[in-house]
Amino acid sequence: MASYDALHLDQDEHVILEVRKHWIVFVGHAMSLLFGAVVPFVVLILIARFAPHVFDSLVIPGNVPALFLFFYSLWLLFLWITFFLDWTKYFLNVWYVTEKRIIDVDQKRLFDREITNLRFDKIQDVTLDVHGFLQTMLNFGSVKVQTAAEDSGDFFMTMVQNPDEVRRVIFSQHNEIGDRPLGRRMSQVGMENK
Amino acid sequence: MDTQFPPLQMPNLPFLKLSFILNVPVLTGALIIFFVGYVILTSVLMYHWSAYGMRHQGVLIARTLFLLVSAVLFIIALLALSYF
Repeated sequence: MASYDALHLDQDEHVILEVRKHWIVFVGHAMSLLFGAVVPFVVLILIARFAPHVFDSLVIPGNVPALFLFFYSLWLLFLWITFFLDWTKYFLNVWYVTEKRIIDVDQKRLFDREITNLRFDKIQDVTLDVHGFLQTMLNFGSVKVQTAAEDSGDFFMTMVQNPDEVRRVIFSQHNEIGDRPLGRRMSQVGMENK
Repeated sequence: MDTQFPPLQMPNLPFLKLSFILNVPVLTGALIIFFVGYVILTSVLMYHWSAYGMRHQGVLIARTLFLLVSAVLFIIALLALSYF
């Protein structure tokens, strides 16, 4: 079960939706890593085919297949670590939608993290853009949350999975905040300013 | 008059003995250096997953998968080195 202590939510506040990019952002990187895993074999085959003299001139001691396996396993480990470094950046780049606000966690690089909060009463509009065959079939697109705040810009995320659900949840929370009696909203603001 | 040209041949390359670099002590040292780098990067990843992962199920799966496959690859490297 997920635990959101690091977000420092209010006592009556809970995360109702996590918004992340679609898994397709990984396809390009995964393909390149797969290619990288195959490259040693391709290089060996090419050398054996077009420059076999290279093998004749190299005097390699010991068990050559074991040596190749040793280097190849280290190469795969390197690719494996690279994949998870990229995955971590993808996974930690997220919007947390609560009953009161949207928390935008922008993991730009591994040691570069920016967190922005946007209260629902500051939202002017939510725009989603699903463009093209692939986005329509796989249900992903870009989501833009326009704000009325002077000190914060719009929230924007591309390749969001299930963007319509994101828009629906944000709008429903925005409307719920708007429908609350003014006195209750003012008392909430007063509690937060203490 | 028929002239037959000799087939195109690559020039002979000088022999290169790699025993000075491809030996068990050097390869073990390379493995240790690689392992140190792996530990540093794994610590960075573990810190990020613990601090910001919110104990999400995806993080738990990722952590298990990452360590499991890494262990298998290190074992393969060690076995390959022992058979070298």
